[in-house]
This record gives sequence, C-alpha cells and structure tokens, in this order.
Amino acid sequence: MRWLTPLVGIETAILCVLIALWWTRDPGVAPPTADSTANERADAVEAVGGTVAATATQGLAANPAAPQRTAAATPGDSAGLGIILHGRLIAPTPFADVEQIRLNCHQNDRWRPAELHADGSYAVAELSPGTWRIRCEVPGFRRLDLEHTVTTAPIQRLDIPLQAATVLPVFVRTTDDRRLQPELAKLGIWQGLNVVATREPLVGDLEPTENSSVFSIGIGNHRQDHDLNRRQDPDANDGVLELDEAPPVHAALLLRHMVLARQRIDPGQTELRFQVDPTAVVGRLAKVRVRLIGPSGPLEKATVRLSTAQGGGSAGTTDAQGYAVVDNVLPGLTSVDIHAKDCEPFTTHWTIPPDGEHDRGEVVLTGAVQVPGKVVDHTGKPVRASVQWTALDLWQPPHPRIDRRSTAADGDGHFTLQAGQRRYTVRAQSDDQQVGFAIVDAASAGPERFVVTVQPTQALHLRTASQQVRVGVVADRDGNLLDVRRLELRWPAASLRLPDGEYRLTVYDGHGRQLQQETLRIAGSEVTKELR
Amino acid sequence: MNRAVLVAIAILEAIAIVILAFDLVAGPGTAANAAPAPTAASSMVAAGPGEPPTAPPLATEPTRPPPAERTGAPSEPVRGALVFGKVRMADGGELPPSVFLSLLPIGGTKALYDSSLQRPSSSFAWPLVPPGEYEIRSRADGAQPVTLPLVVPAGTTELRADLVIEPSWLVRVLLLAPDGRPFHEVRSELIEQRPELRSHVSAEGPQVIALWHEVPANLPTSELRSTPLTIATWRSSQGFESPRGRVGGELPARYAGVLEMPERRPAHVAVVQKDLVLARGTLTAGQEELQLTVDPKVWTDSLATLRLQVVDETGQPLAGAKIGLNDAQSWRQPSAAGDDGRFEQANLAPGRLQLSVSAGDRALQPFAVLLQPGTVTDLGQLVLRPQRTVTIVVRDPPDGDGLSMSLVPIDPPPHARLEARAERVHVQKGKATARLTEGRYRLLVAGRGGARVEFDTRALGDAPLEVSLEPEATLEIDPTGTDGPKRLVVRTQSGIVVLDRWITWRTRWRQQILPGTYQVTVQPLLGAAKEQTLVVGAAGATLAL
Repeated sequence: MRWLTPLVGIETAILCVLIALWWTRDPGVAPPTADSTANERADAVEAVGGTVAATATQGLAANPAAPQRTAAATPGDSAGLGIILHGRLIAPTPFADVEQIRLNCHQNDRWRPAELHADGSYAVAELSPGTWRIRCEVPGFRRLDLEHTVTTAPIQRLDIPLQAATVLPVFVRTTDDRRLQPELAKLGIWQGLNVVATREPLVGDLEPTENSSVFSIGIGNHRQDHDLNRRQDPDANDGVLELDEAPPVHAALLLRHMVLARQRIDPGQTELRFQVDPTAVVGRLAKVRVRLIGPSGPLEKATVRLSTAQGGGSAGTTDAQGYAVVDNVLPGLTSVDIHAKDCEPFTTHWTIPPDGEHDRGEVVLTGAVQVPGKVVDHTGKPVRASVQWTALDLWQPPHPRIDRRSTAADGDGHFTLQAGQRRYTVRAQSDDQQVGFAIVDAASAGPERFVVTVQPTQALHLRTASQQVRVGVVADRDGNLLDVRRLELRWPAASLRLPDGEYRLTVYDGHGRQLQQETLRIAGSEVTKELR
Repeated sequence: MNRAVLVAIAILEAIAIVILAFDLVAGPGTAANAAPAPTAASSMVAAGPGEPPTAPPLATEPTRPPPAERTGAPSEPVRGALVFGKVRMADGGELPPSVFLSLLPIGGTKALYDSSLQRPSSSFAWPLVPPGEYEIRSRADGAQPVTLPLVVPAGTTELRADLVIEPSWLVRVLLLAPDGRPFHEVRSELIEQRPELRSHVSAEGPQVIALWHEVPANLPTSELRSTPLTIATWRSSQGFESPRGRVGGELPARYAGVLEMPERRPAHVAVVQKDLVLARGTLTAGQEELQLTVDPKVWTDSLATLRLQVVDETGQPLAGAKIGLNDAQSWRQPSAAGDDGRFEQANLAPGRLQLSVSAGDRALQPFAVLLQPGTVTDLGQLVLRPQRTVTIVVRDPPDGDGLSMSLVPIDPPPHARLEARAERVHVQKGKATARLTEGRYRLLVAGRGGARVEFDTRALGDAPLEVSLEPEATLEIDPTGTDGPKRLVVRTQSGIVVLDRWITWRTRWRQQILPGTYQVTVQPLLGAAKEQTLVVGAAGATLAL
C-alpha cells in the first residue's frame, strides 16, 4: 500500500505529460491551403453568397499552391476536407469514352466516386485513412477490384495500370438466326439476358436473384447497350464480353439466374456466339396462377403484377371467380403487387420456380386500413423521416423486406400507412441516419398515432466469402423481423444501421434454409459479421 | 482508498501510458510523411503527394495489373492542376442534401467537370485542370447559387478553392381556404367531387410567386405550365416534385410549400394558377412564414371553355379530327372532335395554350390560343389544309451540332384569339425535314451561322428548300442590373421578331445573331416599355438591360 500510492501518482504525472504531447502533436500534413475567410493565405479562393472574397476579386486569381507543403490553417479544415487520392489510369491506348469509365472507392457503406479526365487522370475526395476497395471498370480493359491502404497524408497519388481485356463480340441468336433479345421483348422481357464467364463451367442454374440479372459475376464483364430500346435492334450484336483472364475460360448465357446455354472460350477465339431454341427459352418461363379472395369473396378485375427489383415484369387481371393467370413470368425472386378495389395494397415477394405452371393457390386480401403514425427522436421531438413497412405474415426468408415502398413523415413527424389488417414491422429513418422500428397491428390500431422512435445508430456490416447467396435477417429479441440484407454474388457485402441494443441475427442461404443464428449486440460502435 | 482500488488504477494507468506512448511513436504524425509501404493488398503504385510512385505494383488474383509506368512524376511537364476544395454553408449549417458543382472555362458553355456532392460529402477534387481562367458554379436547393472565379496558373500542381454558400431565405407558405382548411385539401376534395377537373389541373396545385414590386392583377400570359414571372423559386409540397426531403424537409403537411427567396428584403407575393392571380400579399424581410387565403371558387370560376369546328376547304366537317391542347411543358393525348367536326373542352386553365388540330393528312398551322378566365372561346370553323413534307438543306453546313431552326407561320391567324407559334425543327448535318401544313412560313436559322427565309410551301414543288448561312455575331445580353422580370423583344428593321423572351434571371448569356440594326423593346411588368436601337456589328455587341 505504501508503494502503491506514489506509483499511482507517478503514473498520473506521466499520463498527463503523454496526453499533453498527444494533444499538441501535428495531426498530419495538410494540403496546400489558404482559407480566404481567414485572409491569411493567397493560394486559395473562396466565394461567399455569389460574390468573390478579397483574394479573388483583387486579381480574379488563385495563386498556385506553395511548393512546400504547409500545415492546415486549422485541424478542422484538414479533417473536413478528407484525404484526396489521385493519379492516372495507365493504358496503352487512349480511352474511347471517359463517360463509360467507372472508378469508385468503397469502405463498408461509404462510397466515393472518382472524377475523371479524358486522359485517365482521376481524383477521389474525402477518403479517410484505412483500407479501401478500389473498383475500376474501363471498356476494353480487365476490371480491377483491389484493396488499397489510404494513409494519413492529405494528398496521395496512385497510378493504376490497366491491362487489356480479351474482348469478344457476343451474338445471342435463335435457331433460325434471329436475335433472341427482340424475340423476348415481344413477350415483355426487356432485360435479363446476360453472359457470364467463369474458370469452371457452371453446373445447373444459379440461386434465384431479386434483380433482373445476376450482372457481372465471375471473370468477365458483359457490356451491353444501356438503352433498352436499342437493345431490341434485330440487326445489332449483343454487346461484348470483356474477359479479366485469358482463355480458356467458360461462358454461360443466363436469363436472370437460369443457364440457357454454355460453351468454352478457347484461346484465339474472336467472337462468342450462342444459338438457343426460343421454344426452350419460353419453356423455362413460368405461368403463375393465383386466386384472389377479398373480404366479401372472390375479387374480380384485380391486377397482379410480378416484377424484378428493376421493375418491368408481367401482369394479369382476375376474372369473376378471382382467378388470374400471369404468363411469361421470369422465374426467380419476384416482387408481387396486387391492386384490388377497396382492398389492402398487397405487396410481398414470391420465389417463382422455372419451367412451367406455378399455382399460388388462394391469396386472401384484407380490407384497406389507414394507420396513422408519428416519428419522434429519443427526446420525443417530432422528426421528418422515411418510413417503410413490411407485413410480417407475408414475409419469409430468404426474401427481402419491402424496401421499395415508403412514405414520408412530415415536419410534425406524421405519416399514414396504407395497410391491410395485418401486423407490420415499421422502419423509420431520419435524414441524419437515425433509425427506429415499431411493430404495429393494423387490424387493431385505433385513431391514435403509433409512435416510432428513431435513435442514433451504428453500422452493421455483413459480408460473405461464400460463392452462394447469403441472407442476413435481423430480428428483435422477440423474433420480429426488423431488417434484411441479401448478399448476392455481385454484391457480397452490405451494411445496415441499427440503434444500440440486442438483436437476433439469422443467416439463410438463397433457398431460405437457416444456416446460423446468433445474438447480436450493438453497443456504441460498428459491427462486422461474416456470413458463412 | 483501499488497496484493490489503487491496484486497479495503477494497472489502468499503465495500460493508458503504453497505448499513448505507442500512438505517439507510431502515430499519424510519422505516417503522414512516409510513403505508404507496399503491401500485398496495396497492389498499385502509391506515393506521397507530389512524389513519384515508389513501389512496383503487386497484385492479388484475379486482378493482376501489369507493371506500372511512371507517369505524373514531377519530371514530366505539368499539364494541369489538381483542383480541390470544400463547400460549406455561410451560417455553419448543414449543406443541402445535394450540391451540384461545375467547373467551366470563362466564356465557355461546356463544363470540364460536373460533380454532385451528396450529404454528408462536402469536398471535391478535379484532376488535371489545365492552366487558364475558370468559374466554379454551385447550385443547390435551399442555397443561393455561387460563381467563384478561379485562375489556374501554369506550373501549378495543386490548388485549393473553397466555396461558401449562403442559405436561401426560405418562407413556409400556408395557403388556406376561407374556412381555414389547407387549400390543397379543399382542392383535392373538389377534384374528387368533379373528376372532370382532374385531367386539366396540375398535381402541384397553385404556384406562389414573388416580385420586388407589386404583383399586377393580370400577369402576361406564357405557354409554360407555371408562369416564369417571379424572382423566387416555388417548391410545392404537393405533386411529384414535393419538397419533403429537400428544401423544407421540416415542413408539416398543412403547408402548401416553400418559397425560396434570393434576397432578404421586402417583397410582394401572389398565388397564381398558371397566369391567373388568385390572391396577393406581401412579405417583410426575413419573414419565415406566409399565410394567404385562396378562395377555391375564384379558381373554379376562372376555368375556361374552348369550342371549335374542324372543316376542310369546302366547309365539310372533318369527323374524328384530333385536337391537342397543351402548355409548353406538358403533353396530353389529343381529344377527338365529333362526327360533325365539333369540339368543346371545358375546365381549361385560362391563359396561353398550344393548339394542334389534325385530321388524316390535313392540319392547322401551329398556333397558340388565348383563353380568357371564366369565358367560352369559340374559334368557329377552322379549315384544315393538306400537309406536305418539306426538306430544308443548309448549303455548306458547319461541322457538328449547334445549328438550330425554327419555323413560324406568317399567314394571318384564322381567329383573333389565335397567335402564330414557332416550332423548332431538328437539324442534323445541315439537313432537316418538317411536316408542314400548306402555307407561308418564316424559317429562322441560328447558332453556327444565321439565315432568315420566308417561303410558301405551295411554291416549293418537290425541290428542297436550300438555305445559305451568313456569319453571325455574338450578342451578349446582360440582365445583371435588372430587379425583376423584363420582356425583351428584338426586331429587325423590317419588324421580324428574332428574340422575344421574359428575362427572369440575372446572369449574362450570349446569343448568336446576324449583324445588323435592330429595334429593342424592354418591357417591365409595371411601367412603360423602353425602346432603343441596337447596332450589332460583325464583332458583336452587348445589350445591358
């Protein structure tokens, strides 16, 4: 005890000195700067309210940065500006169209796009020290997806050498040598055809996707015309496949997640030509049959729309007995919207299997209910927010929650849900990223506004190294669904925001089979989970 | 203090000392000055600012790049500067959700860079900006536009340019019906009760305008959906473009919208439906909320009716003729005339509407119809004449884009309420085709050489109309000294109108025009018009409003 007291005293003194040193140290070297509001430097210009501050008006000029780098005017300036990464995409040939170049930096849920010059010079602002992923797609060149460590230096240079891709024009033809895409367009299918390249041949279909396509997975990038109308030109080719690796590789023609044809690409091959039987393609589409029942019996003239996350899709209308048949449905994870007079707006997801008829049986719609709600912050103050709601009894894994339908809470925090007589999980997010959840039973809701309290949040980062779809479902301690993230092959990482608290995280595969479950605690800092 | 507590404090302090000491030795102060060490994950050539790349690239599968060339090193001539900076609000507040920045060469129209900063981002960086004089322009909902002159001197490698933007004066607007309820609720009920109103009223509801002087009881008509005669920006909370989430994010549902004022000084305001003034009021400088009463009856009583009969040259009714009535920003499916060629449309917003009438291969020349509030306008019989395809060929056309053509009918309108309307023609590689109703037209070509040609389609035969371009001069129009909307009309000595616009903005712009002597009329909203003669020489001219 006798020696302990002086020891604590000495340690306290050392700690005080170290804290003082730490506090007063140079936080890093700032970019050459001269904040004209301080009027201390001449190497920057600043405009205020449409007029130019003194340094600029005197000579209409911003002087060049001093050759030696100087410290920032204040640490806040440097912190606010972030780190700039710049350099040049180095290629042996000029870039045909700089507008087509995509260069981004990602760090969890943070995303920074690059500004590009026609010669391939680029700059990305507002990075922070740490590991970032740089993704670069340049027509005619191999894609790059790499980690890069950003240090604390305020301006950093990174030249990125590009390597020419093996580029093959793609032709997707029918057995009678017509383009398949315009033929599919006649059935209302305007997108979904996609070619992927892999090291090994694909075996069977991929797992269903909620998107119109699995997009560019594997070791190739199928570059197609973005204009869906031009894609229907009967005389055009079907874009190009840019290979990130030299052949031999394997190519597959997909319609959404379904493999329509496969072939090996050999060294020296100059084009990629698929020939498919359109009858076989149509045979893979689904015919969906459903009967709609309303509060007072079968629903006539109700519309059933089945679409992908990118829209489009097929629709059908019910007959007097409430039956609807929707033809030529793209199989996969399908967004379902049913509109029937005086009934609830029915929105959910179905997984539609390929190859033939699929009977969904009877779907019972309840009467429409308007549920008034209010969003407040943790102090009880009303806040403006975006509000989304998902019917708990209609959701099932591995489906997403309903996140493409929302309503706005106004400045009084007021909003109204257009709902059915069901229980809903309601998620509100304010402009400043605060999030709140509520479970509301619309069948028993009264005229009183139910309250969603938004709170400060932390990020939950989900990622997977699996080559399969993984779905992370966050529920409250009672098991009520709160949020869902689907990690598909093209995007094997996603983030969501949760207030501090205890949750249940369940992981499913792309077919809805549960793989793991754990208690999730969010307590003041972001959390990363690997979904296996 | 007992021994256990002292031991715990001693241990915690020791840990803190180790962490702080480690951070000071290996912390950012050191790292900032060191070139980043190449790692397996860092596969590119990385170097500190202004330094050449220092490490050969390492790559992980599947993205192994080839060895990097050394480019951008200081030994190379400097071709341009890295221009970067930060945008912040003058009042220290949060930036608007989206801030748009453009870097334009002085006098140029094509931006070198267009960037969009989405909250919370506030910094930008543009690579390789060549030496020269530029402007950085910013615009954002809820903030005043800013133009920042910028000079990039030769030899500069890095240049910082910060922008400070002023928040706009935002006025929350309550429009109430005489019974005290929000006008938009009453309006919605009315439309629910009278579904025939739905197809001819805008989803956004009435517009609120502001002027520095009194708003006249009758506004000049325009072909636009909303009158441009305002110095403020109206952001309605109704319809698709509601402001929630943008300006006025804090707006409760009872408000009709937000009026974004450019300056904090007293102003006059009015509630208008297209060009019709429904109510007027005043604003004091800095006022944050405005309440105006609008009687829905004034609106419904103002709705106009158009009546006409479509016939051919012999007076025979043309059954099923298609009649289109649109403002310049909307397009609605044309309505069909009856078997007797008669057509009547009620519940139209009064003002100026584009009228198109066609039946098979016959049509009316392009006219605008003027509808008076609360009245029936009967155009009587409109004779449709045959149409023909006219090809216009420019001799020695300039390369690239930039040539514009418009056609105006010069035959007398068939009714006093009809006015000739110019129609633009798409030009490609100096060639244009237009489907024209037989008659006389004036063709105006401008942009990369000018021409004014009058012709009669009936005299053309099958030959194309050939046009020779004359060199144009640049007329710079400077409205920076204006304090409100002004109508600018520029006529040739022979009375041909080459420019007729309400100027509602205060930035200079350039207009290509044939050299010559012109008569200029500048008409304010209130007060007398001013006439002046303008001589445009080959070197151009400046017209200050």
